[in-house]
Amino acid sequence: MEEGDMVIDEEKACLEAKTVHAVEELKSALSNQGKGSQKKKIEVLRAMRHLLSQSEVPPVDAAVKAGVVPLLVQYLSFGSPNEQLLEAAWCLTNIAAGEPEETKSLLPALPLLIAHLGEKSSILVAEQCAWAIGNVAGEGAELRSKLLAQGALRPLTHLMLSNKGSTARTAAWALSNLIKGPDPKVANELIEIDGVPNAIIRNLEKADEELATEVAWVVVYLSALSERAISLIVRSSVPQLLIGRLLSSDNLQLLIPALRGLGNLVAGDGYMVDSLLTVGNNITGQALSGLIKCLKSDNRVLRKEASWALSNIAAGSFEHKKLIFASEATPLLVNLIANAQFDIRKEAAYTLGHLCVVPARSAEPPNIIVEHLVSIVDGGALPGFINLVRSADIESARLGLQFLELVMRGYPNGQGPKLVEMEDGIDAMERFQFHENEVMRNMANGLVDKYFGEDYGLDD
Amino acid sequence: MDCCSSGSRNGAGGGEAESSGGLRRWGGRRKTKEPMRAKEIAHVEKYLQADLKTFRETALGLAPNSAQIQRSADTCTATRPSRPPTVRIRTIDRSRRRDATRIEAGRGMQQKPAAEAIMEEETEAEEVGMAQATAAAASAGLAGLGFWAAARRRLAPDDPFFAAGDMERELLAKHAALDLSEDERYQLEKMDVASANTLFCPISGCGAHLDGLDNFEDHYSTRHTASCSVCWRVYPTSRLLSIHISEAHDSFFQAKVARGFPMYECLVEGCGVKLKSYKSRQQHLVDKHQFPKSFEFFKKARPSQHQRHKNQQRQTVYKGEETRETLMDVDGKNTRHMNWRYRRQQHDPNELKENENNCKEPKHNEMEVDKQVDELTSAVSKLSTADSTPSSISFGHRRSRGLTFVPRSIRQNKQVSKAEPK
Repeated sequence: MEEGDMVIDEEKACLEAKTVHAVEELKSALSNQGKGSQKKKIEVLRAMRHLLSQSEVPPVDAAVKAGVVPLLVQYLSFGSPNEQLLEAAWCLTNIAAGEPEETKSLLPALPLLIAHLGEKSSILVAEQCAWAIGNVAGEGAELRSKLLAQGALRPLTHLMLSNKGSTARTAAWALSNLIKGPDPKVANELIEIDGVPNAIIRNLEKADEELATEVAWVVVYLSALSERAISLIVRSSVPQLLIGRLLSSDNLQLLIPALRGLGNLVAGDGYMVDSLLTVGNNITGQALSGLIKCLKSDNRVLRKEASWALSNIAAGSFEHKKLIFASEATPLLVNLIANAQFDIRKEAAYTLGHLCVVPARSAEPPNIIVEHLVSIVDGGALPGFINLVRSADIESARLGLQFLELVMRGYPNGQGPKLVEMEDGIDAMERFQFHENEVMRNMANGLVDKYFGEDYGLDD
Repeated sequence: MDCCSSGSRNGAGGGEAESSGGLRRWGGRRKTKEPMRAKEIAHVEKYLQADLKTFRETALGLAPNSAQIQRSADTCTATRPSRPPTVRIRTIDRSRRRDATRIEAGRGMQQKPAAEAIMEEETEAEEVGMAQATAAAASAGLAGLGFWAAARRRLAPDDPFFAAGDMERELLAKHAALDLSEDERYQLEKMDVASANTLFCPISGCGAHLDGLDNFEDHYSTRHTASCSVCWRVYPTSRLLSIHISEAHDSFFQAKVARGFPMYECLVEGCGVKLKSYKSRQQHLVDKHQFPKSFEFFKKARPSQHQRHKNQQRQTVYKGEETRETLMDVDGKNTRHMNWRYRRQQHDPNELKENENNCKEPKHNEMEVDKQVDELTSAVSKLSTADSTPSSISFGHRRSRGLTFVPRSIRQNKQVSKAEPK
């Protein structure tokens, strides 16, 4: 063992001993009566809180094992002074931030934590309890449903409506953890609560970036899970506000949920593309600018999720395709499909492909927008698609093959097959000869048969 | 070293409750957004450094940074700062754990607790469902050709697609003083990209576990390119290679065929059927296993420009084995790594001539030519290995090429010495 390790173990043991001692102090202070007992309680609570909030790994496990949670529950009893409630809730917050088992140990404290969210509580106490509850909710679906069953939703929502910025922010964050599913029920409930839509709008519009960030995350989960919420939100000013934030902010923490919220809305409700973001509206140009800004970003999350959002707009009307095609997005996407990591390449592929087709009647091959196809292929996107064909991921391979079909069918003067061949496309397709997936085999074989069959190359 | 005495509570508690009597006790130190004092900042950073250390060890599998450990140990023994940091650990997300395991959660998607595992199953079922729907559409569509479908795609909030963004959120919320190095960032991205699926090689009968999408290429080129040492043809499995060797290079095999034994194995593993002729095997594949009609085991392939370029490079390497044949081998027949491919019949008549003339294995070529000719034409057989004028031979519907014909493969490949038909 290195000396460093030895010191760590010593330090750890030291800390644990202190923790156990602190728990004992907590216990004995509870049974104190008389003068100075209240002061003592605060003292021992504070000591515990210090231990649990220090910067190295706090001794949460030791504290829980020593039985701190039931004690803290007692410190949370109704009528206790605010300072005591606050310190106790603070300790519980940090315990809930530990390992899952440690979070679960908060179960006995939940009813009281929820109760102290109430409007009669000191705002600071309520905020601290909200924080603890947010940690618990973030742990997993089981704990979420417990919290909901015990009635955490309404009081938390009420706190989100608070004028006090930090409270609203903490509550919004806790709510985003609480509604994140997978059960959409909560999201459905939340949007129906009086004042929520307005609070969302108000905060997205005017609040500082920190608060707007948490509210944006609430929108993310509402728009991902609740049909009712999506339907309300797309008809409100929220989309415009999200787009506005996307354009005006450089704060990555805000950009991520703003982008994802927009993406969820576009994906979730045709209204967005069909009615709101129609070509010619100001908002549409702004949305496109916002997405392009993300495509250009250094941050790959923004590039990735923007590509996805854009793909869903590119799946819209012919006008949308023309608009996107004519914008900066196209060369950016062509570059992405050539050079980015796999997951981004896939999204770029979706977008570029959507730009090239207009759906025909069912069971008929889609109509090809030749101008777009030619430009995209000439711009160098073909190798990227062929690369996808080579991928072990079925969806990507299928995407690549489908695009090759478009090229070979739609590129003018029958040049498609040659172009594909020049980029080793035939080689890529032939991998599917012995692919275990029959659909893929048939697709690839069919294409090679059709475009590289007997008559290939005769017209030279 | 005083770290075990219970008395010392970092007495000079400053702005803590002790001195201010209860009003400013939580003077903005819980949420790190509000102004922090320098010492607190230092402590926050140490906390984050601890995270980084654990991250390095656990998520990236790197050795613990012992220098860092030492430092933290030192601070234990050194004079404590006047006030312990009161950073409340705020966690963000469903993974919510404070340290590196949070990042692992991004990777260990399969390790979710029960309730979320159900969601995962549902998502997978959805994907399978979608795949099936697509399959149905594809086959309902025309002849198995799948067409591009321009449609919106919706994603569930816990779709692995969003894992990267969730992770970024976590890191940012802790004021990522994590200061990841280039390499660590790269590893993190790789992990994220690869984390979505457990991948297995899709080549039938292989089932090898792939460690990530990038590794598929490597795997494919090491495992699925079995090459024949006689004629350099490449096959995706050793079984196919071995069948090829028997059928193409084994006179014993031919002898048995001549005596009427069914020697031509079905190419589909597990089928077991043997046929008496190449053609009947072909038919069996089409009838029983839905192989495309133009499928060819022995191909007369025309490699792509890129392929030809590669072939040329290899030809110069294998000088020792060079013959007129290899030099003239414009279609890559005798070069390694010519991938087994579909037959393309574009200039078959004259290319055949080319190769006949130059081939060292007349018998082999005879068989091949047989196949080609069968397919191409009903009449003329050109099995002679002697030089002969290609001139204006037409096969079936082919236009005649005449003496001036130079196969495209030659024309296009400037590196090959012109092999004009004699």
